[in-house]
Order: sequence, then structure tokens, then C-alpha cells
Amino acid sequence: MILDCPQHAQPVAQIEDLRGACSVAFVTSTLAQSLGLPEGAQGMIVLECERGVLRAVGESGVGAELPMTPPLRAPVAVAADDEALLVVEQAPPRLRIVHGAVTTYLGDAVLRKPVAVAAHGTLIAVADASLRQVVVFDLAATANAVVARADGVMPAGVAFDAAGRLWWTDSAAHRVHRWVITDPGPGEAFGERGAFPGQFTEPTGIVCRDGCVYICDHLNHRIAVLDESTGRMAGWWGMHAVIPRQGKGRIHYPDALAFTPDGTRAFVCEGFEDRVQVLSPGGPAPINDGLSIPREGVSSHFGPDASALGPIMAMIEPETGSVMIFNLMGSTLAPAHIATFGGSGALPGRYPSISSVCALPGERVAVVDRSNARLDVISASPDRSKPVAFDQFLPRLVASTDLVAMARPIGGKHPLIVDLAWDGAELLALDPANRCVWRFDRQGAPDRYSTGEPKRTDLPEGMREPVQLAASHGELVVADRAGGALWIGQLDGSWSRITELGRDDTSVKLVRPFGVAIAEDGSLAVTEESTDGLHIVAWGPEHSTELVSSTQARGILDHQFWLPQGVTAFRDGVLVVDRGNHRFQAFGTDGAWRFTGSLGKFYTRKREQVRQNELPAVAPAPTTTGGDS
Amino acid sequence: MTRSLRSTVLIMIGAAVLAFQACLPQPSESMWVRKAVTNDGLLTVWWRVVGERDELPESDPFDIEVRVDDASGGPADVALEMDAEMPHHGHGMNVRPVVERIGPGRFLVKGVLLHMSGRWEMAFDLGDPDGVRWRRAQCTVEAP
Repeated sequence: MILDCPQHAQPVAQIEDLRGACSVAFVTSTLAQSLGLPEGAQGMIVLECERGVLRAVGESGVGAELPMTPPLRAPVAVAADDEALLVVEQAPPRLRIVHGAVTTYLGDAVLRKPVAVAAHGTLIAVADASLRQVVVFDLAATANAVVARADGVMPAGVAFDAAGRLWWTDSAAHRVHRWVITDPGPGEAFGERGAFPGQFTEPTGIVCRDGCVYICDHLNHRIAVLDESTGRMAGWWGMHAVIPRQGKGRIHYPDALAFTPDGTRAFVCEGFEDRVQVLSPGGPAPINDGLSIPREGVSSHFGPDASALGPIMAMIEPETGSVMIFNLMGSTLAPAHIATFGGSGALPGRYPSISSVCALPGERVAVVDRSNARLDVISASPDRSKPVAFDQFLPRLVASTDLVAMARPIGGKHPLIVDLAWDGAELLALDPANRCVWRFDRQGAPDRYSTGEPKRTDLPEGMREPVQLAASHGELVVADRAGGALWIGQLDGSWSRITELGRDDTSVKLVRPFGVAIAEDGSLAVTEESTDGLHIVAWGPEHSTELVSSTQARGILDHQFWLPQGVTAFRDGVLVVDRGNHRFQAFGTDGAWRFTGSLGKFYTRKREQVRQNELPAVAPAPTTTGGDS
Repeated sequence: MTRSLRSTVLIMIGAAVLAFQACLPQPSESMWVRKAVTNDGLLTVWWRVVGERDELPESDPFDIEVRVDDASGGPADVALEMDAEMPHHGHGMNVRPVVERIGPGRFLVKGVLLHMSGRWEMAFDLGDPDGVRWRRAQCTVEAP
């Protein structure tokens, strides 16, 4: 069969400084007018997740911010049809529908963590990562009732095709579904984890157009193109950016895309790079321009989490679903990579969608996975009487806990652990799906009450999006990204909320906190996505904080960040995953920079300049669409 | 080769032999000569290649019989999953073996395939009756 879907696409333009550009939609002139925009105005609007605003964009650059009343609250996705603008918000979790001067809300008390939306006639489909479902509302039904649900592991994107079938992505199961919503179940599934044609690795945003399906294949750094009638892959757009900031057709962690009505342009959101690339569908395959090998840029991937304790450190490598172990007891300051374990698969010790790691006493590492809902404890204890060297046979899986089997007897939902922490006595697991922190012993076995039920601490009602936690001797600190706050929990189950660190004129307001860690001396370190910040505070009485250090600097030099995420206590300081720069940086608890490192690269002297590869200018692009086979 | 280098090589060979010893067929009157202990030390897995000679075939599927003992030496009440991988090469098997329970603490694993010669790690995952906790016993074999 000859496929007519465009197998490749050509770079046209790049629109920079769109902070956390996570979603995009085309607004027609009719809708634009009803939104209060100038008459005749139409075009793309991009959602900047880190700033929480919608902004008009075009090939020539960034336009005006769309006024929204009331202001958006933790928005994560946008969609539009001729009549209405749909915005997914997470604080509280619901869907905002803007229809002319009228704003209504949908999904209150139904949605838990909505992440994507699509509309078709009176139907509105919402992907909810916490419910682990795609939920379909019908605006023509009584009370806008839910008329269909499909179960998944972590639904991430939704789109209707012209025939009204719902296509949706499951980022943790690495699949794409085609579902006739009047049929039961999730529908037909296409793909599995991998990078070959027909495979996906954490697919997210999805669009259907003219018989083709376009999927943001997030960890394969490409736009996968499927034939709508068969589900087969017809081609893919883009080439993996080898070092951060590369673009011009190289794609880095795509989140969402949208087409202009004539189909001649596709706008691709890359929130990781804070930009949108404009591509022209069609044309030849990209050529090898010789810029695939980085010169000085750091090229190792790191996921959002890191954890160090005593002699070892563990970090996530999401692209391969594996965990890297570092030795911290070498002759130099540099953490030395000594083993990698994991990889995709269904059995214990395999990680299709790894979410967190935690170093434990005794040179062990706990690993938790969203997809198979397992908590593994790995021994990674090298023979310290000899020089420690890289050894792939070093990690040994000691035990594994099936979290679904653990939660089932008490009627719990499928656990969705987003972070782990060791508090000195127990291993804690943050579970937004069950709204609790589960407690385990150092072997990864559930701690249990005398009734036999697994021990847990409930999360407070007002917590919006718990993403990471830190713990020390029974006290918990949870970062609430969408809520712009930290929550402090006590053994008695009481919680208090902090939205500002420090006091008076030496304070900083939290916007999108992500990582939290408690250092050896008790200092609290917090990373901030929206400002590329690292804040270190000392505790005062009654959970007050004294700001010791605050760094808010975007860039690629040392002591600058690009999307800082996980943070861990590290020796007598802290270590931050500088995810957008594919590296980690260590600091003292006074905020002093100590070193920058990644796999095979390590710097203890601050650099004034970092050379990156330069890409050639974008060639004039064809404006036609269609097949090129 | 200098004396010290030769000594180092001999020591390395000796260490490698010791490391593999737990998985190699060892002289015994028992039919169960291949052994792996769970990494928490609680359970013991004995296994053998089904057939007359207990030998790993060359790039052909084979079946293994598995016996799991608890700390007292009696049959352990566990579920079994079996896998194998080549850590140096970053891949596992191309097939998923079928596990069949054939008695208390006894299993037949059908369709194991070590498709490449070299060092493989066999993994036996043993689940408690309620399915919550799993333990791993693993050992290394040299596929012909």
C-alpha cells in the first residue's frame, strides 16, 4: 500500500523563549474575535506551562499574551475548535471552556490530573494521568455527563479523527490507541516501547489530519507519522538533538503539535527547550550535516530524579529505562559511573517507565516504575578492598514488591509512585493516585499496621500536584508543582503549607517547585522550574524558613540551570539534576558551587564560556504538503 | 610476560572460576547440581536442563526443571518467573519461557533460549503466595 502521509518535514522557523511550551492550538478568526482579539486575527496560540499563560505566535516570532479572566491556574494543555477555547488546568483539576464572553468549567470532582484535551462535536475527551483513564464528556448529555471511559497506564494525548474515532497515547505503556468510544475497552493498540519504526517511547501529544496521525514520540525525539487506516508508521520527522539547544529540524523532547488550517505548517512544542519549531510537512529526508558528535557539550541524558547516600548515587536514564550507579568513594571528587541496570521489560528489574530512585543504607537502591507498578531493591555493593571499576554484573535485584497486589486488598487504586525518599528509618513512596505516602522497610517490604494493612500517610486535600518528596526522621516535605507550594507533614498526619521561602525582604515566592532534599545539616534545598532556581533554606521555629542562598540563573555555564529538577543530599551539600543541560551540579549548603558533571565529563573550575556546535542556517523550505514516497 | 603480570592473570582466572562455580555442574550424586540462592539468602533454587546430560544446548531452545527450597530445605510455596540476560551486551532473551508448576516448589520452564554464546545471567524471580513480594536468585552460565 502506498502511504500518502508526509514522511519527512523541513525546518522553517524557531520561536524561542516560550517557557515550558507544552501545548499549541490554532485559533480561527471567529474564535479570536470572540476572545476579544482584533478583528481578522487568527493564528497559533502556545501555552507556556512555566509561566501559565497563552501567547500568540507566528513564524516571525512571539506575539501578545492572551488576556484570560480569571487568570489560568496551572494550565497544561490547550485545544480549540471554531467556537470555543479549551484549557486544561490542574489547580484545581478541571477543564476551562471559553466561549465568547462566557467561561464555564467541566470536570470538577471528576478529573484528578488532566493532561490533554480534544473536542469533536459535542464530545470532549480528556486524558487524565492520575485516573489512568481517558474520560469522554458529552456536552449534549444531561449535566455534561461522562459517556465513555478507557483505561490505560498513563494517558497523555487525545485527538479525534474525521470519522469521530478517538486516538490517544499512553506514555507509560508506550502505545497509541484507536478507539470507537461506543465500543467498550481502550480500543486497538499500536506500538510498543522502542525506537524502531512502529515503536514509541513515551508518546505524548497527538493530532489527526487528512488520514494521517502525528504523534510526539517524546523520548525518541521525533514526530511519528501513522497511516490512520492501518495504524502503520509511514515516517517520522526530525532527528534527535545530540546536545541541548540544537534545533533547526533536530527535535528534543516534543510535547505537542498543531497544524495551520491549510496544512502547510506544523508547530511543534518542545517544552524542554522552551521553544516551538515550525516545520513544513513533506520534502526529503534530512541530510547528515556532520553535527551529530558534540564537541564540548555535555551529552548524557538524565531523568528528573537523583539520590545519593553514603558511598553511592543513583540517577535515572529515561531514554533507555535504566538506572546508573555512581561510586562516590573514589580518589577524586567526581562521581564515577560503575554500573547501569534495568532496561524495558515486564519482569522485576525491568523498567518500561521508570519514575524514581532512592539510595538506601548498605549500598542499595530502590527503584520504582509507573508502568509495571513495582518497587525493586537492588544491591550495588562493590568490593571495596579493590579499586572500584565499571562492572555490569554488580547490581543484584534483592527483592521486588508488586504495588498493585499490595494496594488491592484495601481497595486502593493502581499505585502511581512519582518519588521515593529515605527518612533514616523507612522508605517512603509518594503516590498521587492513592493520595498517600506509602511506607516500606529498607528491603522494600511494606510496613504494616497490626491489622495487616500497609502503612501510609494521607496527603492533604489542597495538595494539587505532588511531584517530589524529602524526608528526615518522620518529617516529610512534598513539592506541589501546580499548587506552587511546599507541604510539611508530621508523623501525626498534620500538614502545613509554605508558598514562600525566607522572611521579609529576603524571601522568594514559589511558583513551580519540583525537587526537594534535606541536606546532612538539616538545610532544605528546593529547585524551581519556572525561574531555573535553586533555593537553600535553614529551618526556623514553627516551620519558618531563613533563606540561606537563592540562585535563579538560566544558561549553560556552571552555576546556571536549564530546567533544574531533582535534588538530593550529596556528601555535606546537595546535588541538582540540571536536566535541560543534561548534567548535574553540586553545591554546598551555603549555595557555593562545587562542580558540574555528567557521564565522562567533570568540571571543578567555573567555566566562562562553553562552546556548542553551530548549526547551518535553515534552508528555504517548500510550502507544499503531501506524500514524498 | 613478567612474573608479577603472570601472577595477576592467574589470580584473575582463579577468581573468575570461583565466581562461576555456583552455576557450573558440580560432581554430585544428586540430579540437582545447579544452584542459585536468592539475594536475600532466604530461598534456594536448584535447576537442571531437562534431558539426559544436563547440558546447555548451542543456540537451541531447551527446558529446565526447577526446585525451590525454603530455609528448612522443604519445598517453598512460591510462584516462579524466569528470565535471562547478557548484561555485557544489554539484552535478554528473544523469547519468554512458559512456567508450569509440576509440584510443591517444583516447576518446569519451557522454551528457554540463550541465542548467543557467552556469559548469561539466569534470573529466577520467586513470588510469595499473595503476589506482593518477589525475591530473585541469579547465577551466571556460559552458553556454548
